[in-house]
Amino acid sequence: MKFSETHEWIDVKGTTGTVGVSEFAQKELGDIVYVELPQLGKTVKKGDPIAVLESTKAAADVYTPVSGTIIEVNHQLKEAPELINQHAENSGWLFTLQLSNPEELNALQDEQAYRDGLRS
Amino acid sequence: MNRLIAMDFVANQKNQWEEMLAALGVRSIDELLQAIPKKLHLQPPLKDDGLSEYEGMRAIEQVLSKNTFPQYENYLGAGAYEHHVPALVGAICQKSEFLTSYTPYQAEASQGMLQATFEYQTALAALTGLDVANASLYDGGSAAAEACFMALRANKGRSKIYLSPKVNPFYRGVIEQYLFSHSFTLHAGEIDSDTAAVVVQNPNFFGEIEDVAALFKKSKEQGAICILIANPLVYGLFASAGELGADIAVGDGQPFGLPLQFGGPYVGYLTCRESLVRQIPGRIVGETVDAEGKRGYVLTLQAREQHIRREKATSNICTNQALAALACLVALSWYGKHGVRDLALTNYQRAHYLHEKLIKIPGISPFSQKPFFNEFCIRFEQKVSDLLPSFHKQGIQPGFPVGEHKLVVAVTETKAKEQLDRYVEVAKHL
Repeated sequence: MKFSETHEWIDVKGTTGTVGVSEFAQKELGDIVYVELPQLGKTVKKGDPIAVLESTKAAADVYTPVSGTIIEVNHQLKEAPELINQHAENSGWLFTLQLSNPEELNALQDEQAYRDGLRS
Repeated sequence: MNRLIAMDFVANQKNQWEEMLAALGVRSIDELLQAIPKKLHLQPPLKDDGLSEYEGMRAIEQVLSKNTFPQYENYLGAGAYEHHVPALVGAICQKSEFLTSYTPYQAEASQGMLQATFEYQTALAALTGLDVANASLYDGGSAAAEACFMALRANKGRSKIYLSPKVNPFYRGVIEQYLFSHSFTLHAGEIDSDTAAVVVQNPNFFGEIEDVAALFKKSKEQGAICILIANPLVYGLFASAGELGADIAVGDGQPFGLPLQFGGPYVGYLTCRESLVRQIPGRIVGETVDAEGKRGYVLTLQAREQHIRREKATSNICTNQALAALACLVALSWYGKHGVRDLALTNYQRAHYLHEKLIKIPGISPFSQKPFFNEFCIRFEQKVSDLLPSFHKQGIQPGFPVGEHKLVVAVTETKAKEQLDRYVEVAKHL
């Protein structure tokens, strides 16, 4: 699992990656009440704002950590956005994409570095 | 500090002046302002020290007496309508708690103001037959433009908006202005899978009732969001926006409780289906319970407003027409469910009485055979500009001229049979 500076995580298997927001981001946002997910088949560029998490106090953009094509979104979040608060880094995932430039992964932090960064 | 928090507007007293001057290190106001050249200072006593209160009132009254509009019987409509405003509207809206409280943010909004807004929303949602309403917008035109933006957000990726050619041109102007810096096209052509929204006015600018339901059905097959602009009084008698298949209903609330006032302030209403609730611009008041389980009202769905989302906000409408919306609510509550229907029916009957008489007169013909509500269009053989003086001489403002030969005539409950007969007499002798 790798992390971006804007607190998204990506879990890559082969050439597909599953993306969500980190435990830290979830805590910062507070109770999430609504999730706006990207369209299936949409081509996105690293850093594009492609999803919105709406909590009781703010609506925050989610940026894709890598470029690619959206192949799946987490439909469960429509009915149960609280999954993000409960399990941000597994069943609270947001979308899966087909990576178009896997080299972009190199610019992301690994888990240890990300968590250390939060502590410092 | 307590004085600041209380937000009262008491002018500073002498000792506070002195305190501030001391903090600045000057002895007097004159010393503070010494950088301003002497020749620019006003030297009292002035030669002309203005008018006394009494003289001033007299002067203003003299200017006002030049207004001729009260002497005319007014058949102008085209978006703003002369209706009787129930006395109750003034009695409630003039209460200082409502009159002087500018639309405050959550922390300062009183429960009374929030409840009034909540009730306004409820009334408009019921009237238009849709699920939710916002706390109001500036006017009908801006509400129509905001509805277009809602559709563009909900239908991301689509680039066209179908705008019926018979939408009020003033509304069209506002929509064009709003869309000006965005890369969307307004058109009146084919509705297809690139059409984000279909915008229709019903009754349209010429007063015609159109087959909106059929158009909306066709539009939905293409996935377009259906937006209906309407004089809200029409819903007292005809199918609601919801029944016609509209996703968003907008228009001007002016016919309910707001006098013409030379063009404003009016109030734009916006209601929609629940699926679009997160695209609604501006504010929404919701009902909830407090920690003790007692009913209370709060601004809700605020997460996308500009004080939180900044430049990414759903819209930059940060205010609403709270006082105008209140007037609208008071009038609607005063009329009640049956009263709104009666009022609409009276409008309908009087407009049809006049129309029927006018089109029998040689030289006058109907603009269309379509049904209408309280406004219709007639065609004159002569040029309308040549006819207006005859009407004006009789104290009648006969309608809104469109092109050289057409007149759009609005008839409300304010026109009694004798007045309508007088209109017909003048028209007979043109």
